Amino acid sequence: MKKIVCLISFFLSAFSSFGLSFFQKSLGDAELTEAIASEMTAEEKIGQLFMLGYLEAEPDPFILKEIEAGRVGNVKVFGWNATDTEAVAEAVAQMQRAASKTRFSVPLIVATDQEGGWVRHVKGKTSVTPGNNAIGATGQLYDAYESGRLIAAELRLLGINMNFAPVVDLFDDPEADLIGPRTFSSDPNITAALAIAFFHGQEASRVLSTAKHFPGHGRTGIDSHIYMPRINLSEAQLKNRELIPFAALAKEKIPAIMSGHLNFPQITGEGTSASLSSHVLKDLLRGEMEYDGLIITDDLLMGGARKPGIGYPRIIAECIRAGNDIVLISKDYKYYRDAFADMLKLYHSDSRFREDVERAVRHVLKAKTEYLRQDDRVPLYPSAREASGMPTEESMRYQQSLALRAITVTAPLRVFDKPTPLLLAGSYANMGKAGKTVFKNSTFFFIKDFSRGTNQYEVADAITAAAEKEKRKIILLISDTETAAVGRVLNDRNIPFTVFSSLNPYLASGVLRPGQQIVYLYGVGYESFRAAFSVLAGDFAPTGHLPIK
Amino acid sequence: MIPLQWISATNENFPLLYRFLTEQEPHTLNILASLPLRNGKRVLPPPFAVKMFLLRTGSRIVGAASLSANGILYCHTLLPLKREDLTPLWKASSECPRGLFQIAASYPASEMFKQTLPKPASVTDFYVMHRPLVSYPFTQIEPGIYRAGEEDIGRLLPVHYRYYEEEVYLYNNTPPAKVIENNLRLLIRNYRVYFLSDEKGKILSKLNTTLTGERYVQLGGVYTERDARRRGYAKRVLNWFLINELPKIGKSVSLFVKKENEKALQLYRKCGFEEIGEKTLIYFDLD
Repeated sequence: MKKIVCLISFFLSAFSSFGLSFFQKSLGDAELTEAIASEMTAEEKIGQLFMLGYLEAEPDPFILKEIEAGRVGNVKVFGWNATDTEAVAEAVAQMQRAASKTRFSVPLIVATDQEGGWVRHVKGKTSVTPGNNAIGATGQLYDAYESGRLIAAELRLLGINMNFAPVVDLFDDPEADLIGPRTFSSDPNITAALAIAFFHGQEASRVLSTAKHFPGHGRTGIDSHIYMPRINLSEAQLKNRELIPFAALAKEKIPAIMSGHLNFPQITGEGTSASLSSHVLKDLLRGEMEYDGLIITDDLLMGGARKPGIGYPRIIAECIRAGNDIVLISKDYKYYRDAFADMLKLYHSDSRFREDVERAVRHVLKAKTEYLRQDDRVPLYPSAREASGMPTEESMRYQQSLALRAITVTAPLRVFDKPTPLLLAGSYANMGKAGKTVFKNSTFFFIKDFSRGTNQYEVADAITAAAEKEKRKIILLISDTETAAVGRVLNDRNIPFTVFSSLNPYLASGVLRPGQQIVYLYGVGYESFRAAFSVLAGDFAPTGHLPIK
Repeated sequence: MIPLQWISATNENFPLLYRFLTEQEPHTLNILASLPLRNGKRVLPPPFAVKMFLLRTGSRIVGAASLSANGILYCHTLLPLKREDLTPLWKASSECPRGLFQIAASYPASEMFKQTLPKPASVTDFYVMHRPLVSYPFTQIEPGIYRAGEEDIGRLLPVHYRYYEEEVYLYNNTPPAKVIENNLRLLIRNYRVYFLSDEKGKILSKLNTTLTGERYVQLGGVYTERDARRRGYAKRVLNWFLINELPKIGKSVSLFVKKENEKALQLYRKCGFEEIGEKTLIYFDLD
């Protein structure tokens, strides 16, 4: 035994004397992970477990300093960093350069939320896509694969090597405006199949996929970042539905899963979020589901993660103890500093916590060696010039085709002649822009501007008056609870109109009356509206199916 | 009525051709497969390898055909064709080094081909089927189903040979062994072959993917050994493929099946496939 220990320490000292580096080609992924993990200081290890957001388009001196010191191993690009695509590429390159100066040159995982549809943190020149409901509506594996491939190809140009997608929550709650439109379907098996295809599409660009929100966010309309939703399901119920896509992806070896700040009182006990439950993460996910990839928390800033008796900043360390490998903090450096100091103290004083850190750092390094070391990895130093080439013609053509094939009409479609004067009422300017290209005599009524300080009756009055004045047919876009309320008023007054539905499809079906037609377009981008108007003009026969029950 | 007009594919009209072919998948998979891949993208083949035609009416593309150097004509149109519409294709076929010996045409062109051509040696009608995404339980690993590698060629070859004999060589002819071995090697290398074997390693049932388009992958080579039939083996391999493998490929699946093959039709329908068109294969005896 002594001999083995001597031998190991000899090897380790040999590595360090030759300058152990992440890019050392002589070692396999597993050997390199072990070599670096056992050489790292406590600070360096804990640094690998943090994923931080930064505050502006350019990374600030604080985050650059922390990265260079090895105290932050991963970053997240949020919407506020990413209105200028070229600036994102430059920021990523700058942060990776800082990481390259650390002792082992371990690169950063750079993550973002580019789910498709309206969750599109990197804006600027990236593609506007119809989203997961639209993919569920075509029901084509090809659409899931292509969406994943094209989204990841754009992230790749920006040096973003991880995407917090696919969302594999199920569309179970009609009031889940926040999650519903981001899901593929209400069916767990279809969700699993589409998510696997999406994952393999992202793999084609070597972007790490993250399935979320474990163990399932679909049965609540509450935003788990702010309030912790309470979902009263048993473990058996979860296994029969919510966990099916996660289990399929775990078997498929998806590299990351995000834990949600969701309370399942029957499973986690009252008041504890799944993200802080070692039973959920260690017993269920790692144990029963045999998952061996990364577990990342959802954003910890807004207080969704909770466990009775645990306060700030200990809650962060508790995430690691529960089985997470990376903790995500979006916007508060003080939160990070306090949590870091707390974790360092615990590391030295609590051997069980130390074991959890050792496990987590190995998971992080394993993912990095598998994805960030090979020649086909996402570039560490992306060029702003290449990033400016987005969106590609291929992507634009594809998004338009997906938008068209997704359009779903539930009753036999009544088409309008193109010269028909239409009144297009909705809260998205793209509706007006796209509508006028197909129906030249139409006008746009921007509800968003009008509805400030007004109620649904006043908006309905104004729409009716505008339509009557010029004898226009009304097309109303229902995309939120306000526009759904306007639809209900128009229905109550027996005013005929055609419904367009974007985002949560339940909103429009909720105002439906017999024989009324709904054109479901799911997305809110120009392509989705263009597709819906083409269908309304009879240029294209709709082929989509509602992705919900 | 606007006259139909065949035009040769060129670099200029290639985007139009490609769009038509991908929109018309899976009916056009064979034509798509005649386009060589360069850096993962389909490109126009050199003129001597494959001849490509686009069928126009006014400015609208309504059909496409490819004629390969070894004499296979694949045709897909949206309109019925008249005798004179086909003349340019026959002219082109005479320039082919080995002459025309096989036609695959998807409906409604197929009826026309049957009526206008010299007496064929064999005519077989098929249904084209695809499978919409349906909710199928993600079952755990079934024992005994494997994806074949080169090391399995030895035991797969006799089964693949029998499949060729019964299903592919549709009229009196013996399949050359070398051709079939090469075909199997190619399928294993470039596509996917799956099989179910018993405890002793004897292969009971197999299937493979054959052609890959933009949106569809075509399933073929579905074959169960004679002494292993009526035990649900084909269904097991097929379900395994549909549930566990297809999502990884990330494409929809299509196949074509002989109209008279009731058992196969039944199996495919049970596994969620639907008919979406017809197709006719016509062989000619050159002698």
